[in-house]
This record gives sequence, structure tokens and C-alpha cells, in this order.
Amino acid sequence: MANYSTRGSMALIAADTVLSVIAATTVRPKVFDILISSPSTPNDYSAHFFLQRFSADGTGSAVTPQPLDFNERAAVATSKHTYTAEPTLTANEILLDMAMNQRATVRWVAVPGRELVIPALAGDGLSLLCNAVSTQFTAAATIFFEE
Amino acid sequence: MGVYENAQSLRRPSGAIIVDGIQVADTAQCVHCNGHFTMIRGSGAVRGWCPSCGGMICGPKCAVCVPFEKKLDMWENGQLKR
Repeated sequence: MANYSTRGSMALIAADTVLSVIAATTVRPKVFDILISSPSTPNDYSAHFFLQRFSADGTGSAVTPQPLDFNERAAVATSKHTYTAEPTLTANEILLDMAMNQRATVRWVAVPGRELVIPALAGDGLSLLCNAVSTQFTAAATIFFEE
Repeated sequence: MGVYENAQSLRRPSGAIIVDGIQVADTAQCVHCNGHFTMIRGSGAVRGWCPSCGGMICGPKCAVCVPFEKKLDMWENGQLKR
């Protein structure tokens, strides 16, 4: 088991994925920490995020997850941000619901053993999805996972 | 933060939501879907308890007892459609 981080940012649009973690047939990635902040000029804007399962990946810019310990092997799971074609989200499988004010940094962290597990299926994953945004601003997200 | 103003703290939380370095809410984990949720007093959200699994469930959609570990195996074996 090794830990990895992946990051991405985008100008928020409702129903668009900010960042994803995608499993492979040989690993069950376990998400244990999520950080969302904004590099935009501070304003009282708000955004609402879901962490939702998907069963088929879409088209986006690939991000290479980085091991937290550089002696570890490269991650088998992959990651994407700035999707041009959204993943196929699974209805009713929203695993986390978080709201943020643009001026604040929001973090969710799991107690060890209580991570969000992605099944070992090719193309299956978790999407950090912007469900709603009051006025567009850029959000930067980091997801930490174990595999 | 307003949205977490009435969040209930839990005796054995499964996670936490932290805003600007301050913990504003505990999260509980559903034993059937693996999802985390906050318990907000007065939200009207219906939560539950699975006596077979001995853990909380996030709502009526997870009322049928299929432990998450079993669900994972079923997804991976193709016995349950994703």
C-alpha cells in the first residue's frame, strides 16, 4: 500500500468534474483526503461539490498521481482534470457532499479504515463534481488516495 | 461556516470536514454505500442503522442490507451492474 496525491484546477461550471481518480482492474484506490481552495481574487462566492461514483471515464487532461514517498512505485490508478466529455456518473452514488465559500479552504479527511473505496474495475472512479456555483471562480483541488 | 452550523458531533466519527483549519463537522460513513455524510440537526434527512452490519446507513436508498465489502465483490465479479 502506498499513498499518492493528484491535483487539478478549473473555472467552476455546474455539473462539471474538477478532478477524478480512476481505478484499474488490479487496484482498489481508497480516497482519504480532499482539499479544495481557490486561487482567484477573494469574493463571497459559493460552490457546492459532490464526490460521485462513475462507471465509465470521460475525456480530460491526464494528471500523473505523485507518490507521497518518492521510494514508492508509480500509481496504477490514474487521474484527470478539465474534462471536455464528462464521465458516466452513477445516479444516487454520491459519497460526499461539501459546500465552500471561495474565501475559505475546505478539507475532508477520513479516519483510517473509513476511506472511500473505488472498485477494481477499469474506468470506474470517483469524480469531484461541481454541483452548483454562485458566480464562476477557479477552484484548485487535491485528492490523496491509497492503493 | 453557515451550512455546518447545526452539524452534530459524533462519538466515533468516520471523517471530518475542516474549514480554514477548524473542524466544523464530523462525518459518518454508510455501511452499505461507503459514502460519508454529515448529521445536520433539523435538516430533515432520514438516516438509519443496520442491525446486521452494526453501522449507520445514509438513508432509505441504502435500507436493504448489502454490506459494502460484498457489494464491491459483486461489482468486480460482474454480479451487480455498475
